[in-house]
Amino acid sequence: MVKVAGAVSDVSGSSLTFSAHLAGLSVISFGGIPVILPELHQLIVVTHGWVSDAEFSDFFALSQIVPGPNFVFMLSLIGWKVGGAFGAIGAALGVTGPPCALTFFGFRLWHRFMTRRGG
Amino acid sequence: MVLAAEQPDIVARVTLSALFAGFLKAALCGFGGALLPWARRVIVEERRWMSEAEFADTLSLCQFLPGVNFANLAVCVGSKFRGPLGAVAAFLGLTLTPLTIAVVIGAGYLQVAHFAVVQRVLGGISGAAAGLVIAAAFRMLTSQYRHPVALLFAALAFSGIVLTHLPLTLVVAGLAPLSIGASWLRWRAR
Repeated sequence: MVKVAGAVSDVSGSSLTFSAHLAGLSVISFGGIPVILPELHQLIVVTHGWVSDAEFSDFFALSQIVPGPNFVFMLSLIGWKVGGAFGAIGAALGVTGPPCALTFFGFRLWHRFMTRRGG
Repeated sequence: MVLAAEQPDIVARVTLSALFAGFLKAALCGFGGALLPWARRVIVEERRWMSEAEFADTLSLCQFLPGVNFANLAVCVGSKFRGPLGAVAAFLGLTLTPLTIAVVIGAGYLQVAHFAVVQRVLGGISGAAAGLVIAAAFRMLTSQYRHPVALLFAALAFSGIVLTHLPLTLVVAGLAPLSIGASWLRWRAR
């Protein structure tokens, strides 16, 4: 990795760390994002201190009043605090990317299986 | 894909922009956990992209796989009609506009976060939302009450995380193969 000097590298570095962690946790979130919520709290509030305890639950509440897939927004809001727009988009892609890729290929396999069976 | 041969008229109708618009509508209408009924309404009733049974099957696949169920659903529906680009269009329809709204609200929140009334309102909402998560977990648990093995694994996972504070990754990696093995043995014994 090329090291870039200054505060910018700190922020984008944190954003990358955040979305890499999200990508890792997303793969084991069987049953949805609430399953990894305690793990996310540990990562975001306790280990890295990216947001405070109060902000974590505020972002949880805020994401519930926005229409659409709530937990993507909650993590994007935290990503926004970590590293601005870059952090927000990185968080959304990190948490949805690996499961969506799995689904894309899983759906094709499943579709092929169902049609071969004649159903 | 297969459906192209069966129903060419539907495939021609489901363009990239139609996928984007359909999922945008479901996302904007689906406030607070109402995303599922709206997704069903748009996909099955209004646009007839899938039959009731096909939607139910696809949804259970998406719920079985990890991640955000509705993002997975968007990928399935999109890729069914338009391949990878369709998956991207449906995904962006689901997330892009609501994400913009979320960011605007989030920016607004930072301006008013220090007001006591805001804190109380948000505290109430997160309490209610946490209650819904607990209720959903309880429903899933009670639906398994006839399966002692499933309950045993639920108890093991719960104590692993809550009592011994093991990382979730470790608990899942340890218990998932065992529980799959256990249900395979049960299936074999039948």
